[in-house]
Amino acid sequence: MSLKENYFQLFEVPEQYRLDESALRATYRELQRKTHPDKFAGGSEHEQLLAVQYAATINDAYDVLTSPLKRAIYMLSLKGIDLDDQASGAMDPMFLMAQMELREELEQAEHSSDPESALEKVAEHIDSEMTQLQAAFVEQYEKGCQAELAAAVETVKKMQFLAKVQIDLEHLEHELLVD
Amino acid sequence: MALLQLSEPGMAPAPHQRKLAVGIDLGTTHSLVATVRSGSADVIADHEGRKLLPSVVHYGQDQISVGYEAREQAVRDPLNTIISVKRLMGRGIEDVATFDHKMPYQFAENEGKGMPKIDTAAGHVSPVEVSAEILKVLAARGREALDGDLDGAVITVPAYFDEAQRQATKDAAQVAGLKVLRLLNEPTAAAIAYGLDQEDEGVIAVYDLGGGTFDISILRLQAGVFEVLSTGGDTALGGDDFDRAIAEWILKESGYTQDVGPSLSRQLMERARAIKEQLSEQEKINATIELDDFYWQGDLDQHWFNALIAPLVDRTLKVCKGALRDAKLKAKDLTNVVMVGGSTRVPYVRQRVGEVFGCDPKVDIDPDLVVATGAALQADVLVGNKSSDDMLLLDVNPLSLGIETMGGLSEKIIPRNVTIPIAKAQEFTTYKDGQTAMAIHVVQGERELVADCRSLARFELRGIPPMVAGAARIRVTFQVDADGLLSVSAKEMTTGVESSVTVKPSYGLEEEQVTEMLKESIAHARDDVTARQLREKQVDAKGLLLSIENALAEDGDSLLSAAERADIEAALQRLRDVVDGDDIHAITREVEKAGQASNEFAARRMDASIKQALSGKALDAINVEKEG
Repeated sequence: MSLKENYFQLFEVPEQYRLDESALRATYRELQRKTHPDKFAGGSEHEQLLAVQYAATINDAYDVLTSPLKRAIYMLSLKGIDLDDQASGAMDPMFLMAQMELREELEQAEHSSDPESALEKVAEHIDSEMTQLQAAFVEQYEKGCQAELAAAVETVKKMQFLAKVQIDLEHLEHELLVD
Repeated sequence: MALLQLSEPGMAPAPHQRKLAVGIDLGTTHSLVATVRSGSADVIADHEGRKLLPSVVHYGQDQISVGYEAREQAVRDPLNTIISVKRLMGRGIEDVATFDHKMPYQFAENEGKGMPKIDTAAGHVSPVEVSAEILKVLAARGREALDGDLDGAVITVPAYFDEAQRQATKDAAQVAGLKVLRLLNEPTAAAIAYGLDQEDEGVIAVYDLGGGTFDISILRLQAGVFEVLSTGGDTALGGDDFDRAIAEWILKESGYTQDVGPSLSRQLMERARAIKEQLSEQEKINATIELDDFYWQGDLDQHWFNALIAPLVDRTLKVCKGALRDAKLKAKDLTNVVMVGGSTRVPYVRQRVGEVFGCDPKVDIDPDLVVATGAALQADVLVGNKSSDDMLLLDVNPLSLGIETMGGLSEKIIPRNVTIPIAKAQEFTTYKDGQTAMAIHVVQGERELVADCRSLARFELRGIPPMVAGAARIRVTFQVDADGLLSVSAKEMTTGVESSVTVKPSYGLEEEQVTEMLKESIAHARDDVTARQLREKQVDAKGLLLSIENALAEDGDSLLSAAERADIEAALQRLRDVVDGDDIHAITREVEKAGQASNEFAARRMDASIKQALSGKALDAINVEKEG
């Protein structure tokens, strides 16, 4: 067991997309109990630095393993695929069309008479699309052959699109709250 | 060697002496110090039985006074009496100019940049030094109550403090000669004070409205783990603003036309505070204010007061809603709302907070004392008096950290509300042939433009191996530690050469300046600087010896070969040989070497404990299955 291992190995969970969140959570707490810098407040300077390093890695690992998008990107990287290096080829036109509709929906919600519940509807829409993409990713990734992996890359790119809409939606919700 | 033979393998080393630690609440209007004695945490009072120390420092020509004594000078000598210095911590002189209200002090000219210096009868003083004076008084109170030198302190800061404000607080502690065990967020400290007493499980909101700052934190409490889910706040909003609203209203009503000088302004603020306190107890009052040539008289009631402060309270409630949203929770998911800070005594604040969260806020612990109490409990754990297995704090980074990119945009590196410690790496390259240095500008805040974020520091990387433009791959790691403080390291990846990193803080002090202040401060106290430095070094060295000896006794046999163990023990022996002598350089050198000799051992121990944590969990799962 060491920091050199990948995040799945660090948390001793199988290298697969579907994970048991409550088990991850329990493991996370146990790992933090052992490595958090608070345990080494009286230790040597080196021990304290080491603790910061371990705890930071465990925090990052937990963040990646519990985030649907980051986990997918990380799993591709384990197969040697860096998403940033992928040529930005043409996206599925159907998907792009759906994206434009989603953006429109968002804009309409913003100016509707009850923006709060309208935004909530858009959020549900995004969630359900995300769920479908996740199912597709599992299918494609687990087959593991090159052609399927290329399809998995496309799926993750779609997830990134949706995640951006999600961020814009959250911004709108936030503005609504503050005004 | 003799020391090691005292404990048989598998047996714990002799119980070490109880360490002396305190928790300090360094507040805008007042400060407190607390400690754990015979199992319970108590705030330490002064000789007159007063628990609060006004955060006021008076600089006379030949003496500095702190607390009540200083506050008495505030009206007579406003320019030399520094109040609410917390508002200046980690701020620049240009920030001070944008404050809603004017501070009465004269600021020394320093090209309109960097940390403000206040011009007093005792010379120029920085906010760090003013805070250090307050900390010194609290530390002395702790030493007297515990009858010995302090091994360390936990100092609380608003959860929403940015990195510069945190660093300034830590610098102040260093100038005051205190070892900081941890900077702890105020709402988290309050949660500890409540949570440990009641062994609560669930999600709590801590609403902390102090004299000058407002914080909201949402925490999940489970099995002794305090996990901060989100935090929000306003570091320039507090009960002082209620006082100011009252004072300004009265001033307007009075029809007073002349210029309000610093002395009258201070007196009006004091009267306003008294009115706020009275209206927190009574439905209505009759107020008469007669100060020099100023006169006003009138009836005031709670209804008037509530309307006056409503816009300020509304601001806090919006932040609360934002924090709930960030935690992905609804008000109904909360089990409790805890009220912290003297300003939560105002009934209207309690009422409105209750409405937003849909439950009656908890006020069991005195809102003035709860933060210091929690800090003392945490200090007791960190210093090693209480097992840290029972309690674990997981706090978050309050504001996103970003770097300046082309076009003056901020690229977020570490987002807000992620659990700390955290580290993120980013790769950069050179844009000129043979380039050996580069500068990285780090900012904090949520906005897209660098100009709208707070500048934290410029990190200069040097020693990049010269290559053609674009060939170097410089991996820069940004790390936020458990105190919320940032450090940066850099390495060129193709050659593996580490770059040296120097920090130019935008509003803070460079390391040498802190050391210089510490020296001045000690000289002022007529202490022997060298003797004190030697003593501190010896204490640190002995701490290191003890910790490695304990580690060897526990894991030396299982994790080290005989040769590896002999190396470490030889290094320890060399340290033991010099530790009681007066050669500070020899001690520093041997501490360094002993540390190096045991580095690999420390890493193996960490790996082993992770392994043990995972297998322990597996064991638990089996037990549960059996029971089920």
